[in-house]
Amino acid sequence: MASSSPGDDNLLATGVCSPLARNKINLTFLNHAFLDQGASCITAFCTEGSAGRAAASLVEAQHGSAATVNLHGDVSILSVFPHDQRPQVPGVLLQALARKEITLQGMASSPSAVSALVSTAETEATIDTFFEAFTFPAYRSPSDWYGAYEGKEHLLKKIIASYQEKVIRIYDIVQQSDLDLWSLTVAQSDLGDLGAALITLGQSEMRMPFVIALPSLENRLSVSFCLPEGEEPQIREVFSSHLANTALRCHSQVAALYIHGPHFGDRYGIAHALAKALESKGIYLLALGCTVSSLSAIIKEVDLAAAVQTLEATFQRSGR
Amino acid sequence: MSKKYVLIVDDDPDLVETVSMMLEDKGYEVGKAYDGVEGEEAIKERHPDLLVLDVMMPRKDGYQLCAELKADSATKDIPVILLTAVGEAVPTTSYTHAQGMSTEAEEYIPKPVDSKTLVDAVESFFA
Repeated sequence: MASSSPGDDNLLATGVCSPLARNKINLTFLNHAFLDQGASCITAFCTEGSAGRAAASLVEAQHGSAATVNLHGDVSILSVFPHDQRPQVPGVLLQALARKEITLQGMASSPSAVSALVSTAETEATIDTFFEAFTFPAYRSPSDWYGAYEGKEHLLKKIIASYQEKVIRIYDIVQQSDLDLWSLTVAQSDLGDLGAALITLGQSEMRMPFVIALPSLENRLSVSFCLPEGEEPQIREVFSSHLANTALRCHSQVAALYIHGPHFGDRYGIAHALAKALESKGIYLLALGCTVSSLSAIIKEVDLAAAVQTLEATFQRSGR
Repeated sequence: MSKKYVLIVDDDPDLVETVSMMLEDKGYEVGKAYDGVEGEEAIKERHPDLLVLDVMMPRKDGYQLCAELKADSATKDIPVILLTAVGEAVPTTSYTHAQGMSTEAEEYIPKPVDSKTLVDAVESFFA
């Protein structure tokens, strides 16, 4: 995993995604978010371990001294699904990690899943703690799960980078409006409290279709998530009771766009195509999370129609 | 009239989610399973009116599950739409159309599949 903070611009397409796509490097995970009310932004991405150093060098070369690029080796992505937009799922996940003092290096949601980035050395402990925190109908124990996925990695590697159409074929573009984008920065030691806040929000039937977390300065995590608009007083009350000393920022009237399939990690250049298309129309990405088979982009609601139009022209939906 | 029950079995949870939302919007009841064994258990629990089945999955692939269902008198009448990741989109796969045809599924849709195409295919079974 590498992360960068490209000063005061928001050039995700040219600064990060373009050099990686040009060099046919597959991304298995990508997060992007504004910091400091838009004064700077931060990007975190994962590649296959063997491509990590090259990817970090490419991004560093693209930015020169304008950005900081940090390479974190040996990271694993673990996804739990389905979350059904329930804040309790990432909430329970965060509490489980906090209980075992496992460092969360990043987190992202797709329409179905919540993915956590942890050090490979802590993967086994993370799987164990997930089995303590969640019930998985298909697997009674971690050993059941390991048994099911034995050989799966080989199967996945066989199809990686095999989607080579000139115009990238996708399964669907889904839009969701009437959302607010919330953001805060927390220390690792606050993850349990953040989890408790999300669980409390979930208990009031609130839906959270988007959440990302990525490494920020001083070993903290920058966390962004979407909740329905019009709930600001309740949300602020919940967070003030769980994370009283944490500044919570709200960007109102945002919309989410989900681009689904093929598997995000199977095809280099998907994120680049999305970021380039939006940038070319002057549409700012307020936040981006890419994991499992989906890219989830948060934009201003006023840009939604133009964004859908440009993405429909950028990607080919098979069968249409 | 009771809702038709469609079971989706695919190890891509985002595809399951997207398609299930579209089917629920159209008035179907949707079950979800994420690999062949889980799908098999879901079928035992409740007989679906239609099965949407991916091919490449852990524990038990779609070809094997489809063949087993078609060989069992209790399940052979469940219509199956197979989602096949074969052909030019995935040239490195070892799965073939010939294998798919031998499972006697009612419909084959190559991946990547558009959600709308899949939903239309589901609707055509109940038209």
